[in-house]
Amino acid sequence: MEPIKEVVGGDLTEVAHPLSEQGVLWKRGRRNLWRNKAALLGFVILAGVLATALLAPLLAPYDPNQQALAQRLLPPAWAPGGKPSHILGTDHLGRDILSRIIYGSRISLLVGITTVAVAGTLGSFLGLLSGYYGGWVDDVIMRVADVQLAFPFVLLALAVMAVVGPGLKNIIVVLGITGWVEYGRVVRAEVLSLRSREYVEAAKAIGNRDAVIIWRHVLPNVATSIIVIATLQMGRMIISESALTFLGLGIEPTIPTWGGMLNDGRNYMNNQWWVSTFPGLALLFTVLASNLVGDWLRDTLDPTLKE
Amino acid sequence: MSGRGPADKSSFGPARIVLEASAGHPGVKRCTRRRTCVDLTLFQRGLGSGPGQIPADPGEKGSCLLKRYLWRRLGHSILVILGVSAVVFFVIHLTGDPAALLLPMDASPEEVARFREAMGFNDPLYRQYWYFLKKALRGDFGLSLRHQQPSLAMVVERMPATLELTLAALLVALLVAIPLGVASASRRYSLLDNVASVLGLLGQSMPVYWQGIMLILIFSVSLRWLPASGRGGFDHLILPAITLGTYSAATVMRLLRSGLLEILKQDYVRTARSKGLNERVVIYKHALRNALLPVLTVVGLQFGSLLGGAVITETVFAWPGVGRLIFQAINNRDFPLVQAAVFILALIIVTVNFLTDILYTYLDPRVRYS
Repeated sequence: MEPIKEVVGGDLTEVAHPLSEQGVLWKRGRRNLWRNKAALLGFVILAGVLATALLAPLLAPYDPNQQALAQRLLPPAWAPGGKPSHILGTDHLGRDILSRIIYGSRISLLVGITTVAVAGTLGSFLGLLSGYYGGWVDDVIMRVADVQLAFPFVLLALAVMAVVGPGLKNIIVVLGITGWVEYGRVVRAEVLSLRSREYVEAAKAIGNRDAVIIWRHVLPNVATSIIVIATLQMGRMIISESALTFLGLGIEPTIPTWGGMLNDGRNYMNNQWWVSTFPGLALLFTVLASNLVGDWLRDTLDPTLKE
Repeated sequence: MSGRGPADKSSFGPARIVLEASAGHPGVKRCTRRRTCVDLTLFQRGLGSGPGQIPADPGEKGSCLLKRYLWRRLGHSILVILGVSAVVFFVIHLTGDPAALLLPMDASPEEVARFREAMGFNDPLYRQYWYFLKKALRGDFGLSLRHQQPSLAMVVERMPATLELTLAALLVALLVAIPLGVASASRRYSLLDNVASVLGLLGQSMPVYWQGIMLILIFSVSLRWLPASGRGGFDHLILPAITLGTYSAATVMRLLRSGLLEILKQDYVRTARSKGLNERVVIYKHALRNALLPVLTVVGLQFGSLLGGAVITETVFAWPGVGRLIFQAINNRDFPLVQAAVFILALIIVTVNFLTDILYTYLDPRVRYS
């Protein structure tokens, strides 16, 4: 096999892989992080939620499904009628709200991470194909994306969940499949510009197969954008899952989830405000943290994504 | 070069003409100096008219391109609607047996078989889809299984309530986002800017239904200022509209802020300031107009999100719109009604996106010529 240098006919540094640019961005990003208090806060909150999810059995004072009807609808410990044993109070079945919030973080993070993984994988794959090959492949994939964009996200997910039924696996698949479009479009746009770069031409010239070129040369250069979108999308996926569960079409009621807790609390809003408030706050801070980190990543690594 | 008519020899004046052959249109060239369309055959012959002439007037050229662009977008929208109809049709086939989905759980196998035969579910899928499409184009989505009324009529009956809520939410979003975005961008790094940024982030992070519940807790249960549910006068609209419009307000505000910050760095803004213009004139007359263009596109897209978000908001506030109808239909396994509602909502979204594109093309001439 001829050396690439002779095939290209020039100094190889001119076709140097732009992955080195990404390395510089990551280093700069890490330095900037210490100056960006909002992003730091986001990281700290996310780390806290992750730790809570992993250490739930150690942190939760009670079994999240343990019912105690004698203790139902207890207010928080600091409110009149509250007890120190139930810091955030109990729900209509006497279940400890703090314990359910702790265990609920597991589902939220699990759904957030897995749906993003499914959507990111599917969207990136289709975006790579669409951008690299162009032609009818691009047309078909982008028309499918257009059709999907014609449906409001929640509506499409609702309609499909109504048919396939609630459940953790179903919701991950449905949210993952309905969330691919963002990745597909961004990756496609990036690949369209990357495919005519010299190093891609060089890789083709030395006889590499398309799959190898896409995997080794194109994909690493769009990875940054994928990571940014994934971080920004995680918060939305957590909200979507909780919304579907709130409507009764998400996770099974036997599994403690923040959306399910909000749904339960809806019927007790008049006098028992805590049943809905604390799970909502947990959701809010988790999604806020995800958005803070996502914003920082985007501004540092790929400001063009703002557009 | 007057560029008045293709047959006018004086059209080929002293202006330098740069000709660029387009592979698919050998007779169409572009004059980059005077933006005059000139037929190459004409140029070669020197004068006279010929077939396939494109008008030399730039206004007519723009009109040509605009019409072509609009036809293309219309064709695209029709394709999307066909795709939407396919998705709506295939959703109920996801489980493999739509008859089992549409009948009560305690239906006997014989009843299921008879129903399957009567509804044509034994036919090939492409034939079923063709019948569905023909009926959908006539507005026939079948009868609601629960109410035994035409599904489309039920959706149309509830549509005004949903549109009222959606438009109110959009109005709330714009009334909040535009002043806040402008103020935030023009006073960068100030307390107002920081507060607006935090509010924007909070608005995008807050679950819609939780926000609705909190608003009900505060304004309906504690303060008793506003009703908690139902549709009635203006006071009934306030809480649902704020709930539904918050995410859009945050999105538009952040977009407008970042767009304005970019525009305020432009040369023409610097020129306007150096001319001694009042800062308000600089921002509102020169900068804001350009910053609002991408906002217009996002607002059009947000309309679709608002229609989807209406499902949750209408459920929280018991607002009698299409969103609540869909939710009830799903709970009742009334899938003809779900199909009708989802199809109509998607149709509205495609139409709004198309109109947004037209408006954007009208407002930004660069789109026509691109």
